[in-house]
Amino acid sequence: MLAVLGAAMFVVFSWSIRGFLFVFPSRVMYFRAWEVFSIFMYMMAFALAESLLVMGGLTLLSAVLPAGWLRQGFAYKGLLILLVGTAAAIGYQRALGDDLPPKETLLLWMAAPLFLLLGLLALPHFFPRLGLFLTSLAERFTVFAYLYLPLGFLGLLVVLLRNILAL
Amino acid sequence: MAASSSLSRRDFLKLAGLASLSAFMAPLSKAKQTVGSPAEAKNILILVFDAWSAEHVSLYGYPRQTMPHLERFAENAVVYHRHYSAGTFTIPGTASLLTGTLPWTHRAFSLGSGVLPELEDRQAFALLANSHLTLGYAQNKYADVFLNQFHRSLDTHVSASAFNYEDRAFYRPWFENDPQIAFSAFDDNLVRDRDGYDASLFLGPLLRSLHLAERRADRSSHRLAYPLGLPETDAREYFSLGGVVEGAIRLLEGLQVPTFAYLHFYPPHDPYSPTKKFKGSFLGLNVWEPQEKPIHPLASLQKDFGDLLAKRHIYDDYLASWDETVAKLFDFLRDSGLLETSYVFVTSDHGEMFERGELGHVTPLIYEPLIHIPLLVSRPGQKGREDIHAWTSSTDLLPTLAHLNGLPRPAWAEGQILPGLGGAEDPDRSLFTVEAARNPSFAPLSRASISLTKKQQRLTYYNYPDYRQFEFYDLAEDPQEMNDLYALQPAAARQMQDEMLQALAEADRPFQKE
Repeated sequence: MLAVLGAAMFVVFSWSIRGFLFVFPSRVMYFRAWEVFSIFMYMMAFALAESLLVMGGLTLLSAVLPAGWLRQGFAYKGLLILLVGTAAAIGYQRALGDDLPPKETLLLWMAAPLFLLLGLLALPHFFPRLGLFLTSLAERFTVFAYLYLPLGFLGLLVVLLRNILAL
Repeated sequence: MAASSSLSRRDFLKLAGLASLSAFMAPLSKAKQTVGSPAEAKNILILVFDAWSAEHVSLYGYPRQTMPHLERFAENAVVYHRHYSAGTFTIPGTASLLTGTLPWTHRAFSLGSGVLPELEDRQAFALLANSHLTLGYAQNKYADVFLNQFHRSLDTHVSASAFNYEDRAFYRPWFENDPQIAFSAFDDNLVRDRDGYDASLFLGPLLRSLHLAERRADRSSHRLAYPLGLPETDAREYFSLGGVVEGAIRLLEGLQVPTFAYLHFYPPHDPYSPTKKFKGSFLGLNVWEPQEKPIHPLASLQKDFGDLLAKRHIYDDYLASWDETVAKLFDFLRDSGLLETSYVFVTSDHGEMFERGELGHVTPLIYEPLIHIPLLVSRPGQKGREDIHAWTSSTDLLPTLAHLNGLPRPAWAEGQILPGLGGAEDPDRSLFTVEAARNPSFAPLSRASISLTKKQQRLTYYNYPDYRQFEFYDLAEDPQEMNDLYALQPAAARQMQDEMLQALAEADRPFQKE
């Protein structure tokens, strides 16, 4: 469970930090250091909420689906879902412009990752060592939970302080 | 056809809008009972039309009849013919209007920035907070940044989306105590309103897709009324011209006590979306066309003349569409009696240009179409028109508001009291305009365009690392600014240059490193 949470936090927080760094040069042009830090903290608090939401969704899915589908081998299956989901989300963001892509493109963006995922999830059945490798890889993501959880909670604290105490 | 008993999505949105209106009208009713109505205090209404150039308004001599209804309003108003914006786009222009200071003082240079935190209480809402209820509405999200920043001085802050078809703002209503930072984190980054990557990996594209699907439905349902597409704001929210004006009227119907209301409308800001009635209004044979001007080396778009002509036509069509719609607001002000009890200012935050290869207002260039803006003021019960030809600045509104309320001109204000409203004409007036979108707010101006207009002459200083030039024009002889006299009249140019550089050094002093 912690391994999947770590992986979820890794992709969500890292992407948020990338987004923050992207706008950082413009923000320092007109915000003071404390304000730039606060913007970062807002983003970290949001990333915490988003990670927990993703994790909650996966947990719910594993509870609803038959045990063999997701619950057994949750660590590596969760990791695969997150990695494919991340690639799909980034690609989809790139495809999104000022208008929705055509229906065919939308369907493709939903179907292609789904089929890719099904294929990847099936592989460890044929290559059990791949499953072990992925599980071990997923466990390494645990460290990101220890890194990003405090950052997310610090973000939450700053957001609360700024809105309650109007700092 | 049988009437449907179920609520459509549009009906629901309208009801939700009314509910939110009633929510923000509550403070006004409450205040009426407690504050009372001092006989001498008049309502003050400031109506701002975004990106509205006086150079395109028939009232100011534009050959195309773009705004006949405004001319009707002007019949009982003071019309300022030489009114100039201190900024060249929404951020510096709005900040100067609301604070009475120049951009190099308030330092709101770039998109999303506010005024210096230490200047937050030096603005029109704070100035009038003791005598008036204060109400702010800015349909432009970057003008709304200032209402967020000044929220402690506002009794009522109407959402920027209140009269749009959609409300994309994520930060409202959760972070009303910290709107500026929350806006920058959420709406300006986590969930984007245009192409590019959202900083939120999964929720960002999901929320954006839902919004885009809603937009598609809105667009298809209004295709006939707006052949070029529905008007939309910089937050990518659709609206109809009529819907915004009706919303403003609903707001003003609730004014029963001395109120200072600032209403900043998005039209005629781009994208220009004329109604079917006005699309192509000014096309035809033997009609007036503007003079071609050489492309400026600093023009960011480098558009050719044909493109500029075509866009100018659409802008003028849009102005005519807006004029017909906003006439309903002018009629309401008259019919409701508000004109009898209110000072009504009609102006803009900056102009728009279609020349020298540049289109719109995102440009380092400073020329007449970009900074010459309309200003009309209807005094309470005014009968007849008064024309003022003195040189005035958007920074003059705040000192004038102070004067109209019996307050002294704030020492920190850089504008003057408007002639016709208690001020005197100053023939030696120096009007500065500053564009510094690429300059940090907390550093001396090293990437900026500055113009000084004085005695019918204009000196413009383009101060960039790779382009450092002065231009000098005689506006009386050469109103189209075609002949740069900087090299030909060195003495006159030098005099203005000295004044400008001295003022610039003064403005930069607090930001110079020891």
